[in-house]
Amino acid sequence: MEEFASDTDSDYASYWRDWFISSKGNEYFCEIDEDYLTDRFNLTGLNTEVQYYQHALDLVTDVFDMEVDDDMREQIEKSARHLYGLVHARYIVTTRGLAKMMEKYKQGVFGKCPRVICESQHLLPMGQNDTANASHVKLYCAKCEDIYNPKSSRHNQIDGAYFGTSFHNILFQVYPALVPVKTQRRYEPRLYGFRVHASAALMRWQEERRDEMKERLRARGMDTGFDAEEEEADEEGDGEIGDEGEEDGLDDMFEVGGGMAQTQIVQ
Amino acid sequence: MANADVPTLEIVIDYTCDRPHIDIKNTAKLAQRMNKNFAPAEDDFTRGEFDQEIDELSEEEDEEQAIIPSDADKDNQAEESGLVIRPGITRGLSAAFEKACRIDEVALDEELEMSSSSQAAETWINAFCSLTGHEYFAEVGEDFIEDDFNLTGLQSQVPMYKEALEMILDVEPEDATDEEDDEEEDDEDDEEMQVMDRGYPDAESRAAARRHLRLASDLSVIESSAEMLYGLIHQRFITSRAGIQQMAEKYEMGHFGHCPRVYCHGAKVLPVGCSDIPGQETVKLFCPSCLDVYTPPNSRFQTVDGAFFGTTFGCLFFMTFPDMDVGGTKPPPPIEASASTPTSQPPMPPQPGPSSHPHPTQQAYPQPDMINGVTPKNLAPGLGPGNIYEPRIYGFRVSEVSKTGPRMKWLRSRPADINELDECRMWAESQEAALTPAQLGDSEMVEENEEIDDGEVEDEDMAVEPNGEEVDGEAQEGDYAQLREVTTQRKKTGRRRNRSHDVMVNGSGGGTAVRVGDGG
Ligand SMILES: [Zn+2]
Ligand SMILES: [Zn+2]
Repeated sequence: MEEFASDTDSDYASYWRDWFISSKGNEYFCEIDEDYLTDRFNLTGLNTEVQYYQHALDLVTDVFDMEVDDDMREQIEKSARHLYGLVHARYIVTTRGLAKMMEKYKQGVFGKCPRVICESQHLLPMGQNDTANASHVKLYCAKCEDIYNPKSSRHNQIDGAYFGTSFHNILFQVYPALVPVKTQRRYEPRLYGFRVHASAALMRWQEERRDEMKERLRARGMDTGFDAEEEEADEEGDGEIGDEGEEDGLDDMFEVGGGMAQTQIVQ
Repeated sequence: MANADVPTLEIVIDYTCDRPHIDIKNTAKLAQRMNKNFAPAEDDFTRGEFDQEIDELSEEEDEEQAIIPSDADKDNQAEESGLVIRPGITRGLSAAFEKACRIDEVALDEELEMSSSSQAAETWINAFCSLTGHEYFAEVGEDFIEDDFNLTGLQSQVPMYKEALEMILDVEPEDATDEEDDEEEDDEDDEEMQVMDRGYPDAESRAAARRHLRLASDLSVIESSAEMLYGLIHQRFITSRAGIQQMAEKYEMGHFGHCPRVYCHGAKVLPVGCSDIPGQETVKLFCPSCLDVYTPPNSRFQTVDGAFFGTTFGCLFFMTFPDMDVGGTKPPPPIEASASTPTSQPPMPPQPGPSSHPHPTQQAYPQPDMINGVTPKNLAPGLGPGNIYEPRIYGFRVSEVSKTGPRMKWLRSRPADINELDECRMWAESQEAALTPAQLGDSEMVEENEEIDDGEVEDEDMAVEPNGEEVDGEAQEGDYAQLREVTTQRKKTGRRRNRSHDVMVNGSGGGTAVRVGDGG
């Protein structure tokens, strides 16, 4: 890990990349190593994707020294950012890139899941497309396995292709220990303490799907990935009094599948 | 005459007791005024764009901080109007007193009259609701508060209830205190009285001392009590006709923001509490499109108590407005070339939701107009096929049986054929097919829960609909009632009786059913 932390190319002044990384709104990006950028193999195919490709690459690698007018400069600047993003999508699925992004993930740089039940689970940036200009970056929560819009409008402008559709899934494959324990707890809409039929029926249906899945996994001898205590509670809840929370639990809007309403969300 | 508006403050100067004092009311107003004067930045903040501009990292947070006036600011501001006022801070009061005493009574009255006539009086409620972070609150009508029925039980929940209520209603406290210094007060002020009794034997000086005590240390207590009381009244108000209407307007205008979930496509959210007891949870946002709750994007709302919105409001709201379109606006799919190809579908009535993924089974079964009391298009439109995130690596789906495979799809699922949620019908069908032990065994687990629920239902004495009418198969009575009875061998198969525990709510065309004490 250390070799990544102390940047190999810190002796060079990576002027442009330093500037780019530290610009406001670019917090999601990690720094691409100099040697990754200078290996042409890693850039295969990008010359057709990026205008003024060579100038842009020169700028990113701090070797751009041409005298150009402001308009042109701006064009090249824009191309350089685009190029950086496209290379970034490739870089972050390399060992080094994954490690850097994992560090940022641990620090919560990408924000926290807005879903109350996920209890501030850290997020990862992702794209819904691997092609540029198709969609903006989204944030993936590994706890609820859903994707969310970034809170900040600045981050909402970033192209999702700069992170890609695979990165976040690869990260958890490479670091399976980072996969959070899933929870069966959920919000239950209530009216004067009573569940509402329409949503309750849907939730029962969903929970049947969940239990089917758990059966499939168990049949293969696999871990379901859910909180063990919850599962126990769930099992008991099926059999015996599932609704003991009902009298004092009118305020407990969060339920484990079997009706045990004991767990409160703590801020 | 002690009630006035300078310009938004209410200052009560009491010369009647041997040690005159100044009573400053409505510190919320003060804070409000400070906001206006010292932080015009607040105006830049557009409601409804919360989730957009919010929490743009620490920088904006700092800006928010700046809105809260410092003590120095307050002093400056107050000096303009000739008084030094430090609301709620004891040490400031002697200075305020000295200054105030230099102004003679008549002059003061004139001054106050002038200022109040020149400016439309702003009520405490206005001020409270326009404070930063209070954007979700509705303005409770004074007539609602003045109806004692609406306040039933709140007296015991709020310290200094009477004073707090007076503050909310902008009522000057003097008259009330003098006239009826009786039972009501005694009840609330027991504690206070005990303190009093030690040093002040006779009633008059006791009363004076009480007022003084109140002035000094209780002002901030009253203020926070008033906020608590307002919140609790608010919880009730927004489930009243007028309140829910007001919230509907705010909802439609997007004051509460939008669901952060990508597949909800910007569905509007509603503030809700996850507890009805204050002090437990902060306010959350309920999304009707995915039936989930989210933390407000801006940290300013993390000081707002969820109980001030309550657990019932969210449900009641969407039941009250069953025709309100709760789905977000799905963007035209120009980008995703392959997977989703929603051709322009004619808006057929039985079309289940805005899901642009025409699932084969949807075509196979006609979709009902109502399912369990809700129109299918308003039943979690952000869930189901096409609205579930599918993890992929280099274009290949990550398998469920992979160690890091998806485990949570159920949470965002919804049957393609919405009839699957008609539990009663499903059950009846399975029973009609054959009453085999195998099938019974399957439902036995549920049955026990249901037995317990049954008892509870009777305890709760909820309005059951025992009208014994025949209902058609698509009706919303769906319930395990039959299941319960049959599995306990009290009934036979094939019957369609409407002995339902669903509670009909709100007279919304009989289209709304509350499932009572459901067993999950
Ligand atoms: Zn989550
Ligand atoms: Zn949603």
